[in-house]
Amino acid sequence: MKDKRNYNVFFNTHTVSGIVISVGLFVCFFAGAFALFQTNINKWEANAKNGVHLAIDYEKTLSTIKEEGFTMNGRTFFIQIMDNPLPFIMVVSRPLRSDNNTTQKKEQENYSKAKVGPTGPISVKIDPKTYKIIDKDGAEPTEHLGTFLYHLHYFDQIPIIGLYISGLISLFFLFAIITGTIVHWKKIMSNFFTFRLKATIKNLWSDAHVALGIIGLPFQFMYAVTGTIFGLVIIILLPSTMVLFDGDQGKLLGYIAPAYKTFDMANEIHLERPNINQLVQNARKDLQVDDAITASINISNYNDKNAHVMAEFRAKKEGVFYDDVHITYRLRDGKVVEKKIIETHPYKGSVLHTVRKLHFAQFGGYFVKTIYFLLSLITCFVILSGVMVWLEARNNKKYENKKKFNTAIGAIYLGASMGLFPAIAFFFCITKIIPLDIENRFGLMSNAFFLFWLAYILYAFISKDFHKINKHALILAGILGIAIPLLNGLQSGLWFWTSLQSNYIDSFFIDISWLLLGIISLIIAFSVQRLVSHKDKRRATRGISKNRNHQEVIDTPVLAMNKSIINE
Amino acid sequence: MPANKKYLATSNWIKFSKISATILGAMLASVTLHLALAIWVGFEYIIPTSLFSVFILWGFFMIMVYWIKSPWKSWGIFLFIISISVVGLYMAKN
Repeated sequence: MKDKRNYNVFFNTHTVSGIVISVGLFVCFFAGAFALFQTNINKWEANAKNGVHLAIDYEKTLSTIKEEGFTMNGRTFFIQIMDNPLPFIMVVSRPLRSDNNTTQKKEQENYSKAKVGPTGPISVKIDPKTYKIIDKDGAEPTEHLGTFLYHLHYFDQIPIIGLYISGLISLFFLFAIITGTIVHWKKIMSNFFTFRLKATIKNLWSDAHVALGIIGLPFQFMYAVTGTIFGLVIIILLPSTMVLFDGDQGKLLGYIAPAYKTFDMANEIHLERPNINQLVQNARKDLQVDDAITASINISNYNDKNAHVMAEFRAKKEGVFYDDVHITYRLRDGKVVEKKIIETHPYKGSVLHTVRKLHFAQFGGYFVKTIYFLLSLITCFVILSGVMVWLEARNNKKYENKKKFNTAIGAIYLGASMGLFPAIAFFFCITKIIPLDIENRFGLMSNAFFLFWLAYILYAFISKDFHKINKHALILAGILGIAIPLLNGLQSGLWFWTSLQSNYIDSFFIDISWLLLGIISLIIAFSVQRLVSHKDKRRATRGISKNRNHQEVIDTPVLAMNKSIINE
Repeated sequence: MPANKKYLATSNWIKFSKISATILGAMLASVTLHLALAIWVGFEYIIPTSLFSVFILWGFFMIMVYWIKSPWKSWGIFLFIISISVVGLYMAKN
C-alpha cells in the first residue's frame, strides 16, 4: 500500500517536473553541447589562426589604463590575455568604494550608472601589440557565434532573470532525475536490458527513456548540480556574506577561491615597488611553469602600502586534474605571501575548481569534450523521449477530450526542440553570408536566428505531424550543415582540405564536424520510417491486407541520430 | 501509465503547501543549516562544500516533501531545522 502510494506520487512528480522543464532543459543541453566548443566556434567565425604566440606586458597595460584617465590608487585589477577569437588583453576592475562624503557617493552612483568616470568600473580590451584600448564597453568576447550559443544555454538573452531561470531548471532537473531513479529502482536491472521494439510505441519510448537515462545518470547528476551552482550561486553567496562575513565578500572568496582573496587597505600610498613583469617571471620560475603559458594576474589595493599581486597559471599538465598554480607576492617588498604548487591541492580552492572543470569539460582535451557532446545529445534524447512517453500515455480514449491540447503541446515542444538544430546550423551559415560591414550585424543575425527558430515552431504547431517535424528538422539541418564548410570556403578562402596545413585548426575542425553532422542527419532523415505501433499494424493488415507498404519500424529519427553519432 | 489519481493529493491547499515547501521551505532549511554548520564546525571545510551540498540537500528535501504524506509535517521539519539554525547562529554571533 505504502509502496504503491510512493510509486504513484513519485511517478507523478517526475512527470510534472519533467514536462515543465523539458524544452528549457533541452535548450540548455543542446546549446550547451555546442558551447563546449565556443572558443573554436569563435575562431572559426573570425577565420583566426591557432597557435599565435601570446605575451603580455603588465606594466604597459597598467599605464594604458592610467592614461585613459582612471583613478588607479586602491583599485583591484584583474588582467588576463585571451585568445578568443583574436588575442586581446582583458582588464577588469570593480568601481572604487567611495568615502563617507555624500556628494562623492552620489557622483559615484551616477558614474556607475553611466559606466564611465575615473572611479567607475573598468572592463576593457587592450590590443597586445600596440597597447591601445580596442573596446571600452566590455572585456567579454561578445558578439560572436560561440559566445552567443554559450549565452543561449543559460538564457542570457532574457535580461536579468535568464540566469536564475536556468538555475531553477537545473534544480528541477536534479529533482526529476532523483524521482526518476526512485520510480525505476525496483526494476532497474531488468528495465535496463529491456528494449521492446515490437510492442506499443509507448513501450519503445519508455524503454529507451529508462535505458539511456540510466546510462547518462552520473553525467546528468553532475550537470544538474553544477548547473544549479552556476545559476543559483547567489543564494549561497548572499547569505554567507551577510551572516558570516558582515558583508565582506572578499573574505568569503578566500574560502572558495583563495587566489582571489582580498587584503585590507593600509590607506597609505606607497609607490615604490618591484616591476610586476619581473615578479611574474619569478613566479614562473618558482612554480616551474612553461614559458608558453601566460599568467592571469590580480593586483589588489594598487599603490597602497598593503598592495598584493597574485599570478595564476593553468599549467595544462597531462594527467593532472588540479593543474592550477598560483603565487601571491606582497607588492611593496616582493615577499611571498601564499603559494599553491601543482603537487598540492588544498580543499579550499579545489571545490570551485572541480565544479568549473567538470561543467566546462576542461580536462582530457578534445576526447572528453567529444564524449560530453555525445552524452549531451543522449540527454536531449532522454528529455524528448520523456515527452513522447507522456504523449503516448495520453493517446487513448480516456484522454479523448484533452487530445487536441496534448497534441498541440507535443508539437510545440518537439518543434522548439528539434527546430533548434537547423536554427543553429542556419546561424552558422549566415555568419558567412552577411557582409562584414553592415551596421548592427550581429543583432541582425541573432534576430534572424530567433525568427528561424520561431518559424519552425510555428510550422510544427500547424503541421502537428511528429514524424514530419523530426524528419524536416533533420533534412534542414543536414542541408544547412553541409553548406557551412562550403560557405566558409567561399567567404574566407579557407577550404577544409587546406586549412589544416596552414594552421587554421579550428576552421578545419568546425568545417569537418558540420560536414559529418550534416551527412549523418541527412542519412537518418531519409532512412527512417514513420513510427507505427504493431498493434495498429496488425489491426490494419487484418482489415485491408494490401496495405503492406510500410515496413517494420526500426527506429525513430532522434534515437537513430544519437546512435549513429555514437557509432562513429 | 499515468499515475493513479487515488494516491495523489487532490486539494489545492495541499498542493500549494507542498510546492511552497519544496521551493521556499527546503531552500531556507538547506541554506540556514549550512550557515549554522559553518559557524559550529568551522569555515574551512563547510563553506567550500556548501557550494554543492546546499543544492543537493535542497534536492533531497524536495524529495522528502513528497515522501511524507502530510505537508504540515514537512513544513514542521523545515521550520524546526530553520529555527534551530537561526537560534544557533544568533547565539554564536552574540
